[in-house]
Amino acid sequence: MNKLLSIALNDLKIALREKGIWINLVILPVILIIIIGLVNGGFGSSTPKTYVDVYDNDQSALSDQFLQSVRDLNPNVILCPLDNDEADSCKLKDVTLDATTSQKRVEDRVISAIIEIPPNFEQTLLAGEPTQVIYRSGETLAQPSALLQSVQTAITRISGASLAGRVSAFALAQTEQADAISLDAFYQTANSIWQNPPASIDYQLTSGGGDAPSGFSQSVPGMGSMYVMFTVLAGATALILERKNWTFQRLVMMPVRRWQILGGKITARFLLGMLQYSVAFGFGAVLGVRFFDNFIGVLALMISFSLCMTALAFFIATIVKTDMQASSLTLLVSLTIAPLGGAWWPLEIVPDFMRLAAYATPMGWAMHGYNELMLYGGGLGDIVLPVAVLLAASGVLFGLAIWRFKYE
Amino acid sequence: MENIVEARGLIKTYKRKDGTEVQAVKGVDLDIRKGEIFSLLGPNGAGKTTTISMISGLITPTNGDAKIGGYSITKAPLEAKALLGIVPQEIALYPDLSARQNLEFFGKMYGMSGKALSHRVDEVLEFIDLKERQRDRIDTFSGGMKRRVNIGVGLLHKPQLVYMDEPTVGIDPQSRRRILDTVLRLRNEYKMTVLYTTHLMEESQELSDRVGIIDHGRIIALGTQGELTQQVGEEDRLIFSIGEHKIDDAMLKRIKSEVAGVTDAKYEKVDLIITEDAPKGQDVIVDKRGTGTMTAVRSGQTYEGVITVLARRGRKALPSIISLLDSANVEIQSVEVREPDLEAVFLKLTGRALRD
Repeated sequence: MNKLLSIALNDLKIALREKGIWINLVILPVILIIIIGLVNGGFGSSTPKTYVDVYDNDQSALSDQFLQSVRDLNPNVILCPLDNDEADSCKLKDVTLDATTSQKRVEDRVISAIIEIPPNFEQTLLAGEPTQVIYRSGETLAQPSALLQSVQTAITRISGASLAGRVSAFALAQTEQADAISLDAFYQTANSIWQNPPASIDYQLTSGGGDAPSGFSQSVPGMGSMYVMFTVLAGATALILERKNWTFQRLVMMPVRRWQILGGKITARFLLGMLQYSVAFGFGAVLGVRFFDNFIGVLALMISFSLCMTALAFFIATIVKTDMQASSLTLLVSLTIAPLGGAWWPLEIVPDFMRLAAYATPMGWAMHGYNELMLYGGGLGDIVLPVAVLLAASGVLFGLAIWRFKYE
Repeated sequence: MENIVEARGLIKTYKRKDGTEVQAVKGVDLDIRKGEIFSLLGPNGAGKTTTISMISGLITPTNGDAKIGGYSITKAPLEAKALLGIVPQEIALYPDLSARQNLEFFGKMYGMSGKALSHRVDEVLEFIDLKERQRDRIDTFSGGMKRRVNIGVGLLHKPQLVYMDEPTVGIDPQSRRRILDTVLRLRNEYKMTVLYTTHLMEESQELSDRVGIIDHGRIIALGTQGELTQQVGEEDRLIFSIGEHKIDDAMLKRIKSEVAGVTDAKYEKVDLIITEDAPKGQDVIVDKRGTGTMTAVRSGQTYEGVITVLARRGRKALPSIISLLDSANVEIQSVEVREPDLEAVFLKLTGRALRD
C-alpha cells in the first residue's frame, strides 16, 4: 500500500509541476464558470421557472382564486397555458394539451407537474362537500417540492376560507341578521383575511434558491465536470508518455506488484479530478451557489464522475499508441461529451433527441444528478440512479482497461 | 563459480497484426556468473533486449524460465527483482523532477524509506558525481548527466546484478568513457555482477569477462573473448575498396594461389545511395553502409566493389596483393586491415557485419 501511495503522490507531484497546470486547474474553469453562468441566467434570474400544465374544468371565480394563490405563493411558477408568453416559454407550439401530452411533458421534464381542477369545484366547495384538486408529478411525497408545497398551501387557504365562511354562516343563522348576509360574502371575507394569516411558513427553495443565481448553479457543476474531464483524461496521455519515457517499464521491472502500479496511477488521476471539482465548487460557493445542504449527494456525484473519467482515461490509454493520438482523442471526447451531456447549457432547452443522447454520456448522468440537487430541490433519493449508472460505467471501463492493459 | 542468472529455454513469440506469429527469441539458455561482466552482443533486432526483458520480468516468456539468485522471475518475481538493478537504454527518469527526487522516488519502490533512503541517495549522488546538481531538474541536464542518474537509480538498493542496456547510446566520448569506467568500478570495487548489452564490439571487448553473441533470437556463441576469437583462427582480414571496378574469379584465384598466406578471397558489390547533390564525377563523402565510416566516392557512382582477403599475417601479404591488382589496372581507393576480433567472430558465424 505504501508503494501505491508513493506512486500516487509522485504522479500528483509531477502533474502539479506541469507548465500551465494552474491555468487549466483554476483560471480557465473560473473564467468559464462566470461566462457560462452569465449566459445561462447569471445574476439576472434568481430561480429557474417551474412550469405546470393546468386543466381548469370549473372555470369559476374560486378556481381562478386558487390558481392565483399558487402564483402568489411561488412566483416562479408558470401555469400553462394560462401564463404562456410570446416566446412560448410553456413550449406549447404544435402541441394540443391533453392528459397524455401533459403526462409526457412531465416525463420529459418540460413541466414539473399537472394540476387538474374538477368541474363544479366552486359549487362543491361552497356547499361544504369534499372535492379534490388533482396534482400529478414525478416527485416523491417524502420530499415534496416547493411547487407541491405552494399548491398545498393554496388549497389549504381556500378550504380554510370556505370552512370559516360556513362556520360564520352557521353562527349568524342563530341571529336575526342571518338572511341579510350571504354565505359567499362570508367566504370572501375569510379568504381576504387569509391572505395575511396569523401564522405562516416562509417557503424557500433548499438549493438553487435563495440568493443563488440559477446560471451559476448550472455553470459550476457543468464547467467543473468539464474540467474534471480535461484534467483526468489527460491521464491517458500521461500514461502513454510514461511508457514512451520508459519510467513505466522501469517500475514494472522493480519489486512492485502490478496492481500497486496501476492503483497508484488511478489514485493520482482520481485525486486530481476531485481537486478540480474542489476548485469549481469552491468558487461556486464564493458566487453564492448553495450546495452544502446536499453536500453528501454532491460529493457522491463528484466521486462517481471522477472515478468514471479515470476509468475512461485508462481505457483510452489502451486503445491508442501515441501521446498525440491520446491528446486528440481525449480532446474530441471531452468537447463532444461536455455540451451533449449538459455541461454548457441546461438540457431542458435542447430538443428531445439531444436530451435522450445526453443519457448516453457520463456527463449527462452527472448533470442530471447535479440539477436534481441544485436546481430542483431533490434529495439523495434522486441521485441514486445517476450515481449507480456512473459507478457501473466505471466498473465496465476499468474492466476493459485492465483486460487490455499492456505493461510491456 | 556460482551463477547469479540461470535462464533455460527462453522463447518469446509475438503475434503480428495479420495473425501470423514471429519468434523474437528462439530458446535461449544462459548462465551468468557472480561477479563477472557479461556482455550480450548482437546487431539491432537480434533479440538482446527481448531476452533481457524476460530475465528482468518486464515481459513474460512464452516458454522457459529464468532465475535470479535462485528466484524464478515468473514464480517469485518480487524476490528476483529485488536482486536486480535496472539501467534501461532509455532515460527512464521523470524530467520534471530533480535528480534527488527521482532517486528518492525509485528508492521507495525498492522498499527504502526515511534516513536510510536519504543516506543511500547521498551515496549514489556521490558515486555518479552529481551531488552539486542534485536539486536541479532532470530536463536541465546534459545527455551524459542524465545517463549517470539513470545508472544511479539502478544502483540504489545495492543490487547483486545490474542490467545495463546499451548505456552509452547517444552520448559524447567523454561521458561514454566515464560510464565505461563506472561499469568496471561496479565489478572491481562493489563486486556486482553486470549484464551489459551492446552492439558496439569495442565496448564488449573492453569490459567483458565473457561474451554471448546473439543473432536472430539465438545465442550463437558464448565464452571469453579468447575462446571466441579462436573460432575464427588467427587470420587477418584485408578489405580493399575498388570503386565500380569489377573483379572476375580468375583474379581472385590468382590472389589465393600467388600470395603467400592467403586462404580466401571474395568479391562483392555494395550498393551506394548517394543523396548529396554534386556535379557528376566530383568526389562526395558518404557513410558507407551506415557504418559511420566516411568514404569518398564519385557522384553518380552506384555501387562500390569490395575485395575481402583472409590471410595469415595480412600486413605482410598486403604489398603482393596491391601489386597484383595494380597489374590488372584495378584502382584501389582504400585498404583496411582487421585483426581477429568479435566482429570477425560475428562475421564468420553469420556472414554479416555486426553493424549491417
